[in-house]
Amino acid sequence: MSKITAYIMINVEVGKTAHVFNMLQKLDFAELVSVTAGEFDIIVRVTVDSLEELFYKTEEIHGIDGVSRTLTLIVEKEAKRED
Amino acid sequence: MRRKYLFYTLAFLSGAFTSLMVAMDIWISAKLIPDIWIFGISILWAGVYIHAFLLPILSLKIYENRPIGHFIDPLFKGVFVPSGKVLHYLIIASLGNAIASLTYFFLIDIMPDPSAVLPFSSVVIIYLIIGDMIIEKESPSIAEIEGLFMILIGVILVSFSRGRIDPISLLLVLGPMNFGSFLYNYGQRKAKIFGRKIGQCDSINFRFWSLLFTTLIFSLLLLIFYISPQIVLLGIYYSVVYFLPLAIDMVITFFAAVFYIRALGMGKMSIVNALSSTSVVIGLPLTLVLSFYFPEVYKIPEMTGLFLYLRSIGVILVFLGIIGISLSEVTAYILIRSRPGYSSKLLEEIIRIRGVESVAAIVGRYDFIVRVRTRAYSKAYDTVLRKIIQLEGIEDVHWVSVLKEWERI
Repeated sequence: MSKITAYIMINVEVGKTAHVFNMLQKLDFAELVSVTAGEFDIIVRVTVDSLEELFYKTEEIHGIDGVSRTLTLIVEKEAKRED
Repeated sequence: MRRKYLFYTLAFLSGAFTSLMVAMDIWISAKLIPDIWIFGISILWAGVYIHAFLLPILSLKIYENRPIGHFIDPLFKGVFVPSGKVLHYLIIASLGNAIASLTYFFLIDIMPDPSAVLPFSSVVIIYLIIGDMIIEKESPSIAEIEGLFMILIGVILVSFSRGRIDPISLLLVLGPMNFGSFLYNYGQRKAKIFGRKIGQCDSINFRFWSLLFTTLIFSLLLLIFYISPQIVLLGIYYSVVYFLPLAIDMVITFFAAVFYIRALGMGKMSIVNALSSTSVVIGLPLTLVLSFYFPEVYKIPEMTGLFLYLRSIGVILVFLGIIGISLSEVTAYILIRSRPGYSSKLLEEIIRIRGVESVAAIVGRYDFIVRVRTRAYSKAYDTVLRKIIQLEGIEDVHWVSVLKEWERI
C-alpha cells in the first residue's frame, strides 16, 4: 500500500515557536519542519501509512504545548524537479 | 539533524580531508617516490586496489539488512556497474579529474614551492557560478558577486610568499587545472541527477568508478604525452611496493571525495565548492603543525611580519565570502488556489519553472503547495512568483517564507 504524505500547517501561540519546532523534530513521522513567516508559523511535512494514522498523528501534534490551530493538506499527486 | 548543518559539515569536512591529502602527497613524494609521474600513477593504482578491497566490505549487510556503506552514505545499497547517461557523465567527470591531476603533478614537478600557486585552484568556484548561471539562465546576485570577489582576493592574499609566482604555473592552475575540476564537478553532478532516477547515485560507487576511469585515462594520457611505458609500469610496480602509505593517502582522499559528492547531492555546485575551498584555510595551520614535526619534508609557511597580516586577512576574506554566498539562498512555500479543471495542467506547468523544487496537488483549503528555492529574495519574484501568477487557471497565491528548517536525513 502506498504511503500518504501531507503538509500540516500550524499556528503557534506567541513565544512558543522554538518549543514547538523542537518538539516536532522528535516525532518519527515528521520529515521536514519549517518555521515560516506568513499565514502559518510552522509547516510540517509528514508521511504515514493510512488516513487513520494521519488522524492520530495530527492529534499528537495538537497535544504539543503551544499549538493553537492546524490545517492538514493531503497530497494527491507530487512532482519533483531533479536539477 | 538540520539539513543545512549536515550540508555545511559535509562540504567543510571534504575541504579538511583535502588538506590532509595534499600534506600526505607531499610526504610520500619527498620520502618514498621522488619521481612525480611514477608517484602519480602509483597512487592512483593503489587507490583502485584499496577501493576494490573496500567495496565488498562496505557491501556486507550487518544491521537491519543494511550494508556497512549505508552508514557512510544512506543511498548506498551495494555495488553497481554504471550504465547509460550515468556512465557517460562519470567518464566526463573522470576526464576532468585526469586533466586536473595531470596539471597538479606537473606543477609539483616544475615548481619548488607549489603552495604559492595551488590556492588558486579554489578560483574554480568562479567557473562554477558561471556554469550555474548558464544552466539557470540568470545573473548572479549582488551577495554572490561580493562573495566571489572576497574569495578571489582572499585566495590571492593567502598565497603570498617570498617565492616568486611563476606566470606559467599560475596559467596552468587557472587554465587546465580549474577547467579539469569544473568538468569533474559538472560530470559528477549530472551523473548524480540521472542516477537518482535509476537508483545509481550513491557517493561510494561514484567514487570507485570515477577513480577507476581517472586512473585509466591518466595512464593513457601519460603514455601519449610522456611516451614512456616504463614510467607507467614502474608506477604500477611501486603501487604494490609502497601500498601501505599510498593506501592511507587514498583512504583520506576517499573520505574527502565521499563527503564532497554527498554535499553535491544536497546543494548547489558553487556553494559546495565555496565551502570545500576552506581547504586553503585549513592548509595553513596544518602545514605549520607538520613543519614543526617533519621539518625536512614541510617548509614552514611564511608567517612573519607583513606575510602574517596579509595571509590572516586572506583567511578571513575567504571565510566571509563563503558565508556570504551560502546565506543568500532563500527557501519558501507558495500556496495556490486554482480554478476548477486546471489541476493536472498546472502541476506540469509549475514544475517546469526554474527555482521550483517540488509541487504537490493537495486537498484542503488550497489546491497546490509549491516549494521554491532561489539564490536571493530579489530573484524570487522575477524568476518564480511572476511566472506562476501568469499561468492560466491560477486564482490566488500565498507566499510563505521559510525562516528556519529541519529535515530528517
